[in-house]
Amino acid sequence: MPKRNLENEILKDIKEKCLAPTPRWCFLWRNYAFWGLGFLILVIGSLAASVLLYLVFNNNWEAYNQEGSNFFSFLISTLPYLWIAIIIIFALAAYYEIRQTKQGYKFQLTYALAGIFVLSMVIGGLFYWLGLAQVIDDELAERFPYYERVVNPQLNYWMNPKEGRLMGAIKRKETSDALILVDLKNKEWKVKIINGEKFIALVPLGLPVRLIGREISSSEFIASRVLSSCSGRGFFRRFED
Amino acid sequence: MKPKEYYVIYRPMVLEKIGDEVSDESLVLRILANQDNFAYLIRRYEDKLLRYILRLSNFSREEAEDILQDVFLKVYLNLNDFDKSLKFSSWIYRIAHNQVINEFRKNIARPQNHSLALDDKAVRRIAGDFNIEKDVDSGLLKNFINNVLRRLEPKYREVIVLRFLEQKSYEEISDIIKRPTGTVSSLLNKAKKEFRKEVLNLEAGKLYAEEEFGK
Repeated sequence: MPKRNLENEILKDIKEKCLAPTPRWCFLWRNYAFWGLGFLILVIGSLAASVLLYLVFNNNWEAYNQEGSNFFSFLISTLPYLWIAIIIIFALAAYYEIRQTKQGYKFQLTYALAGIFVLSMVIGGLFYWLGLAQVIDDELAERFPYYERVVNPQLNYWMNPKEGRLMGAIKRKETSDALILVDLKNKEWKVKIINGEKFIALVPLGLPVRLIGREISSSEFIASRVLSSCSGRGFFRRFED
Repeated sequence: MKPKEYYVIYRPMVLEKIGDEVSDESLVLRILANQDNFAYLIRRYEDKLLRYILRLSNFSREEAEDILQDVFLKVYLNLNDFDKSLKFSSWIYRIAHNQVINEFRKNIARPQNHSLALDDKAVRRIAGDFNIEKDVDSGLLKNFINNVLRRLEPKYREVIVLRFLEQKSYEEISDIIKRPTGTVSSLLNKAKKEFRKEVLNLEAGKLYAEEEFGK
């Protein structure tokens, strides 16, 4: 069988079909688009990381050792799984985007993911420091329908008066040692705070707090400890007129 | 007012004489200036790539030539995408590699009975690297290695072909198959193990056949 003259066939093909090399800018644009998209994904992942840091830093870790609770169940109940999942998904997406760039294949999956994760945490830390995490959390707390269940499980954990945990915003001061609190279900509680006269005198209305103590009746609670509540504070704006 | 003078400069596009001393990278620039110079690139890589396609796949020579034609057209269309941080040969092998994979996907159920374009030199080299008995007849050895290679999974066969038959470095293999060098290294180790396992399997099968049915 005679050898095919590939050279002639290819050159003929090029001339007949008027083929020309694709312009350089098309490839450059595509490469920059992948890097740009990768960067955007990294920024979104970093925002998720900043909210994760915000929730973790404001988890009232010292509260786990209350009666009937242990650190492991506290951790399981309050970890912000949604944000962890979002960070993992965005890290994978960022890796996929980087993999599409010209030199992207040179990065080993584990090192690349570790690098993206560390970078997300560093940028996330910066966003947290700038106060972006609080803004995002406030907005979601106010508007997102399943916020207390999906976005910030700390709220659900603290909404358990039978186990001595109550969370809510201070509505008004009742007496020198008692105040009225609105919980996550917009239910009013009369809360007596042990040795809390000074606190009650100074506390501003509308402040969200976490209480440790015990339930006296279906609408009364005695608190032995009052903790600040940063994350989820936007939730109580839902009940404002 | 003095009339403007116009000069018509006529430069016929005459095919330059480009020898082997011209690097692939500067040949690319000359092709971009004059498409006819693409002929030199085809001449440089036609045999190498055809052999590579045949070694990588189970395609017949005619099919491999069709694939090679597509490879060269892709190379031509993507010349501006050539990454100068790579060796040009790695880049063109990568295009050939991708094209073969595309063809594999189109022809999953194809019969696998074509020879893998092994020449004597390649056969001796691979036999040496894997300590396969070299004193046997060259034709038998070629058949034996051909059988071993054909029994390997494509991912193992491609790294064995690139490393031991095309004699590419780890970095070049990494650039061709677009995997990190660490992955190439572990893939190659697994491929060597698989190759040795298949050698033993085939030798055991041969011994069994000799014992059962005589030589």
